[in-house]
Amino acid sequence: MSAIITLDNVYRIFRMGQERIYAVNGISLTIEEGEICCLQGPSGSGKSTLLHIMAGLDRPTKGSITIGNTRIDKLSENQLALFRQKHIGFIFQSYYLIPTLTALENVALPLTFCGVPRSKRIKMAKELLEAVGLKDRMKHKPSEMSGGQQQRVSIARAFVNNPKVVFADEPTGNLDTVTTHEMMQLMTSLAYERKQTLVMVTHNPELSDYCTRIVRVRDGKIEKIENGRDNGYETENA
Amino acid sequence: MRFFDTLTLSVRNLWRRKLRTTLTIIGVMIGTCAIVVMISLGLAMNKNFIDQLSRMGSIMQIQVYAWNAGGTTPDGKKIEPLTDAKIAEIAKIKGVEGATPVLELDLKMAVGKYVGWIYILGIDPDVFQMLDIPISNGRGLTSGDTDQMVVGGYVRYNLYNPKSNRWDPAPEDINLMEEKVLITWDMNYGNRTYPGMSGSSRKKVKPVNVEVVGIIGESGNYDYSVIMPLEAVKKYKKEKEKFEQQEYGGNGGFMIGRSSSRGSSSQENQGYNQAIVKVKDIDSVAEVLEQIKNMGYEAQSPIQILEQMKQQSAGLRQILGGIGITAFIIAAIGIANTMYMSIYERTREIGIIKVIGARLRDIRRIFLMEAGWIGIFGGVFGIGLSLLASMALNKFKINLGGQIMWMPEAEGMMSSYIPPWLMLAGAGFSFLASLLAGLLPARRAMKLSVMKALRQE
Ligand SMILES: Nc1ncnc2c1ncn2[C@@H]1O[C@H](COP(=O)(O)OP(=O)(O)OP(=O)(O)O)[C@@H](O)[C@H]1O
Ligand SMILES: [Mg+2]
Repeated sequence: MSAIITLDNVYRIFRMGQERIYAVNGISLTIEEGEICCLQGPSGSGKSTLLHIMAGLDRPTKGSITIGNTRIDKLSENQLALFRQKHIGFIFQSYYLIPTLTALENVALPLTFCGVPRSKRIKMAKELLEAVGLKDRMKHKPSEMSGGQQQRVSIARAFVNNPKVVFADEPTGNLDTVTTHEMMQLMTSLAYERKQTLVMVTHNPELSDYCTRIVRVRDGKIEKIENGRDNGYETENA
Repeated sequence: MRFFDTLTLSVRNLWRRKLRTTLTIIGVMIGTCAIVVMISLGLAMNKNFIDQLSRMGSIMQIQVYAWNAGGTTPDGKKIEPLTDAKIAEIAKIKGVEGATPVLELDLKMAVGKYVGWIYILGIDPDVFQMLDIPISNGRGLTSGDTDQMVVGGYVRYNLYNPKSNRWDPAPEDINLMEEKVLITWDMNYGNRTYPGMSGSSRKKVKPVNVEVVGIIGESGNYDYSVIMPLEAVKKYKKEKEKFEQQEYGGNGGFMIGRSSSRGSSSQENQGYNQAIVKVKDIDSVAEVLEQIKNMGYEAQSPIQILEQMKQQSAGLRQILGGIGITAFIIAAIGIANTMYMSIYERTREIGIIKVIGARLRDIRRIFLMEAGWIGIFGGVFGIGLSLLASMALNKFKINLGGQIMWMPEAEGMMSSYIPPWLMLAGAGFSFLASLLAGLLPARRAMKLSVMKALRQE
């Protein structure tokens, strides 16, 4: 297995007036293809900021991020958009679905921006909605669905364009224990089937069982990296 | 992103904010309507001027007056009398189609028991056709005519029965073309005579038989005139001068009319008072006018009035256009406002679609297209509204131009005139202005960074 994400001495510094906040304070990390990597740490330790930088949603103040063979910190805004279109999926804690679109339309939306013709993208979206168990909720708007169902839609949306890496920021933060396990099961199995890499932030120590690796973050730095269960691929320590 | 997908997405976005979209479209519609109607008022004014002038049938004619003959031009040249030779010279100016002297003469007309003064214009019958004098009945003068005449439609109002004790005008339906018509240079012909009255002892003049061959339609210029061949008028004028010499002795007595031009010497040497020049095309009028003026004569053309009216109304048209543009700017601000509002509302959404792969140009296109739709619908409905408003203005004859320009109310006068080009221009303007108003908000939407957009509540 080869490295899919490589961070080299990455900083993200926020300026608040005179004060500087080192949200990410010199992190180097390599994530292998097919890994299910979990970022854990206390609140305010910089997990979300790190995840956004890896996914190309935010730019590092310093350092380089490579996904596959692409230095995404060097990409222009437009190139980055195209890169996200093709290779990245993202799942948010609060789902972030478009409230006026149905479940089906929400899932098909990334394909719309890719220029996939309508009939094909409907077909692909339907397949994924079926995979997440929402076959009978396709025509529903987000407001007509439960939190768990909405999160399933957002998972389907993240996986629909078959990205190389899927990022998830506390995807189960708003859900009860049973639903949380369902979601984890769903995401890890989807990623496993498609040989995709999954990087997620979670507070819940129970969920470590789903991960091949746990990265503990504190004050913007990596505190410790632990191996989790074997996901069937060959894994190694950084 | 495919064009069609952008299109449907933008329509959906507008559709889900129906009320705001509708209000914005109404704003643009009113703006477009205001600008189109204001311009249409100005256009109608212009059109009315031209229609009125062309109804006079004289837009390509120049009236030449020789009031200054015998004097000198400002640069010291002697102004020669307006003789036949001079008129022939004018007729040779480039762009001139023809020229005729105008010899004026007052005579008396008798039709049965009715008599009346008539004002005769003697012109060259060959040139008559060129003058576009409208003939409502019968024919105009042609070469070879001698004692033939065409009379203005209102000439019959001059005819009355002098023998009656009360005012006894000729009947409304008198048709001069069918009556036996006489003319005479004895201006007292047919009048009651009283003992001791001057000229009561005069000898009788035998009136001349003439033939009315045509009636001049309503023209404004010739309604009270009679037009006869120049040669005939010259002959009558001589007769009249001779008669007045005998009757009143030399000075023409109290009977001096427009006819007693300058003294009594022969017309050829003295020249005419007046001539009409017909120009081939409207663009030559100004130049021919200038050349005639250089000869020292007074020259006038309705085209000068047209220019003057246009100049006078230019200010008014600008004010009207200004009101329209102001209204439209307000509408455009409305569009920009709507677009900005919808961006603030949708900031989170813009962030989301950026995360899932919308490119900058996709976002710009979505927003511009939304603005474009508003512009198209606002424009088209605005034109519709303008046409309705224009119809109403014309129907109720709210003649803004006339009221401000003191133009008389006339038939066929328009209050508002919307030619096809104005419709296209109005709709196009609305579309472009809407796009422009949408451009700024679209740029803002593009520039929003993903994380900032997502954080916004
Ligand atoms: N846009 C910003 N401007 C200023 N400071 C920021 C910004 N985003 C994050 N920070 C700061 O950076 C630090 C790390 O924030 P981050 O959101 O990454 O923490 P986190 O580990 O995800 O915490 P949580 O578990 O509560 O989500 C915090 O101190 C936060 O205040
Ligand atoms: Mg966080």
